[in-house]
Amino acid sequence: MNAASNPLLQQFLQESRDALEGIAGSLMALERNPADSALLDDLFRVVHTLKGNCGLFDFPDMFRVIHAAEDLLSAVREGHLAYDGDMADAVLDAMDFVSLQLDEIGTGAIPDAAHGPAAVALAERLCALSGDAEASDTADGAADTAAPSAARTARMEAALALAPAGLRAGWSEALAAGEALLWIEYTPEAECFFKGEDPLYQAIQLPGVLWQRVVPAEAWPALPELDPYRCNLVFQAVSGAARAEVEEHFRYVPDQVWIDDLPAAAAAAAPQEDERLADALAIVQAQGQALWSTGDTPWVPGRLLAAVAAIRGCMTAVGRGALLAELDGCLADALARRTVAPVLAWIERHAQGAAHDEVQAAPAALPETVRAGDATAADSAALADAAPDQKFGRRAEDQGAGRILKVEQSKVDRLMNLIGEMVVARNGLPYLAARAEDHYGVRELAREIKTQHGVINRIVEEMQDAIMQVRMTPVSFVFQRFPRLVRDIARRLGKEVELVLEGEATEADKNVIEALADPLVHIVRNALDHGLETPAARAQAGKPACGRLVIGARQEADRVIIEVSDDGRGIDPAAIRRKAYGKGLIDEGALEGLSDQDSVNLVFLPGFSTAEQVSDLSGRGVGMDAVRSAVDRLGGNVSLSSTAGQGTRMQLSLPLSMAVTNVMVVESGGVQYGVPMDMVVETVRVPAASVHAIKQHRTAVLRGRIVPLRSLNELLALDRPQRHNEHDEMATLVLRVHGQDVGLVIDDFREVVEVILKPMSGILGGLDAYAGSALLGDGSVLMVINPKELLQ
Amino acid sequence: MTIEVNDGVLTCSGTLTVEDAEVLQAQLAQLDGGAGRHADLAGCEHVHAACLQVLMAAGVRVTAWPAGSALAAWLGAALAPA
Repeated sequence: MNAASNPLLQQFLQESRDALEGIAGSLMALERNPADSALLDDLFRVVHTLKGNCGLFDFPDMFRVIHAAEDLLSAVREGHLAYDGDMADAVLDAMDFVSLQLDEIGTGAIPDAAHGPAAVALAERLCALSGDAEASDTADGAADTAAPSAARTARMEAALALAPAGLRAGWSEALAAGEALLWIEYTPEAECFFKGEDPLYQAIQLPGVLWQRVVPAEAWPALPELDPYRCNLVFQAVSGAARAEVEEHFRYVPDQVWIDDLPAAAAAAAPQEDERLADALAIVQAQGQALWSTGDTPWVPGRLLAAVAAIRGCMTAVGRGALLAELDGCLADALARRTVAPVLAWIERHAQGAAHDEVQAAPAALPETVRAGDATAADSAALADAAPDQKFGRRAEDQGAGRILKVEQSKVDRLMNLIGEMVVARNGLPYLAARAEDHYGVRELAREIKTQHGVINRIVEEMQDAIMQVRMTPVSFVFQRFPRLVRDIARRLGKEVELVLEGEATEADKNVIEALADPLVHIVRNALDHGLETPAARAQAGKPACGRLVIGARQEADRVIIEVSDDGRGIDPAAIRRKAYGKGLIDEGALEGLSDQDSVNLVFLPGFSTAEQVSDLSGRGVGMDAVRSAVDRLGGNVSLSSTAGQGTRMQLSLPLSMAVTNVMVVESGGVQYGVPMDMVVETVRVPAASVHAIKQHRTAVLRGRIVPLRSLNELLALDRPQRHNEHDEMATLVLRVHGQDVGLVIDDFREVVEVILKPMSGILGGLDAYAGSALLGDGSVLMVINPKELLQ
Repeated sequence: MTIEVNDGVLTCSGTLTVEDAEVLQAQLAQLDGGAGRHADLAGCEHVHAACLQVLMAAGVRVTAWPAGSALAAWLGAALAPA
């Protein structure tokens, strides 16, 4: 089964993933507040819907697990069981399994049959949890099982007696010939309509049906009192299909179906009767059917006379003439009242042959219903009033599909790429205007091109803005995984943690948000593992036993700020220094001169880890280094501050969007380079005379600070000296890199342009010194420098 | 789906879905029960079980059966007089 080619399956996958998120959220909320019945109802409903959806497809493993989870939740909801952490673990594991299956289905594969045992194990674990509640039920139930099966057999025999004799004769021949026939009784549960089931459809699809019957489980109530959404049907059938096939057909509702071999005795019960009698009765019944559909139309008398004549002939032929007197009475009555009812009643009484009493239940209930129907006509207004109310409570969940369009990400990406091309094309217009003026000497045309450029510029900017809005994703996309993550880790570490999420609605570009996920997980793990103490240690330090972890997001100008703070033990600068020295990451000289803040930042050095032991969570010495490089790649900054004993605060600052980058174009060594604008602090021309050499580094004093100067040609290993202007000044870009100002000496400044930055790919991908390349309006390629790497 | 009453005969066509059960119930309740309720199901492609039980409970007499043989067989088993 291919997910891509089946829209229904696609939708199922998407909705199920949404449902899984909802379930995880509800489970966790419930853990905090186990008494919240609304929450429990909600959770149950979502699981229930998931199961219903799953039933549309053939994923038995998934269905089994969800079904078990639903049973467990149902037991909790009905108050048989108290909700606890073990239960949450089991259900969460079950949902993880479902998620895994969904992923497999999503990649176009049929779920691996090898998951079968895992599914069974999960289902058993869930059943074991709900077992406490059901144990008592089963004990009671065991005694009852004998009785229902006897009743079922009786029902079967009664029903079979109604089957036409010709058919029954055929069955007994088939049985005698060694063919297997099945008796199937399908009693859908009363609530089945709410699970999206259609028992009639199920019945119609039943293979090999030879004869069928539908009866009410309980006698029908009067029409107005009938709840159409409580299933009151029993489907009975005789089928020639293989038992396995029938079981497969009912695999989702095995508890509602009774399948048994058709007993030869039941099939043959009737044939002891005179076959002619059976045939005659069949004719009489056919007359009854004809009359039934005639109803009370004007031609009733004619029909009645014809039918009665036929019946009379039949009855006389089989020697039941004695009953005809009664029939004549009924006919007279019927003609007088111009209704077929009395004759039908006669047929019902006498033409059923050896019909069992119980069988009469359905037709017998009928006149009652009809009578009640009379009253109904008058009461129909009341019914109309009542109906909307019922409908409201019942169907509420079906509504509320918002006007939100779900679009594949690739389509949005394509649109964004196209707008990127548009930006480049727009950037070409000023060049064209310049050429018109300089090369062809048509100033008028140049001006018109510039006007047109203005118009196109406005539209392109609006388009950019619009596509950015589309791509904006709330940080909750990343945050929503933390409640589960924090809960699991805290449980494993034996710590108590209260997680506070703030500013979940803050938005940033999808790429930024997605790329943020891994670094944030690292940070949160670190905070839980190293930052927060165990309850005992916290008590000793005079803090509440439950630690507090705050993950917050907010927007500041064109950047999004993510902060993770805890109230744990904080970072001890001295310990960091010792550790860094011990690992050989800093030398003795640096050890002396480091401020406390600088020491804290040592955790970002590659290969640094303070944990005494490597745990499975963190402490392998890759964490903070990985965080820093991931954030750098996004064009962001990380800063860490900590107060020993009071907690740690990690702040990530990221650009809102990465699609369009402002770069300053500079010239160096005869080539144009781009420098990301967000790193440029200022542009200055430094007189060559005011450059001082400290050791082998050149520095200049700018605004009272010493700024180291680096030459771009030197950094790029070009063997040309940097060009000075006519006043012997050096063009210098002051950049802020990792919180420090550095002067980058170049040949000259050019303009600032908006470009679509394309990351380097292939062999060039390994060149860290460049952030990427961009196409300029005149068609030339601009290499954009990555100062963070270049200036290391 | 359409459910309408023509000359006292309830005429259904298309697919009777689970949502139609209440409409059906209301329509049937309005038909005069004393004269018997008649239904023309010839145009039905499928009848949901919820609708079926409304038809059964109302004791309708079916004047025309749907074309689908399996559907007609099951509806007949449920709605035809025994």
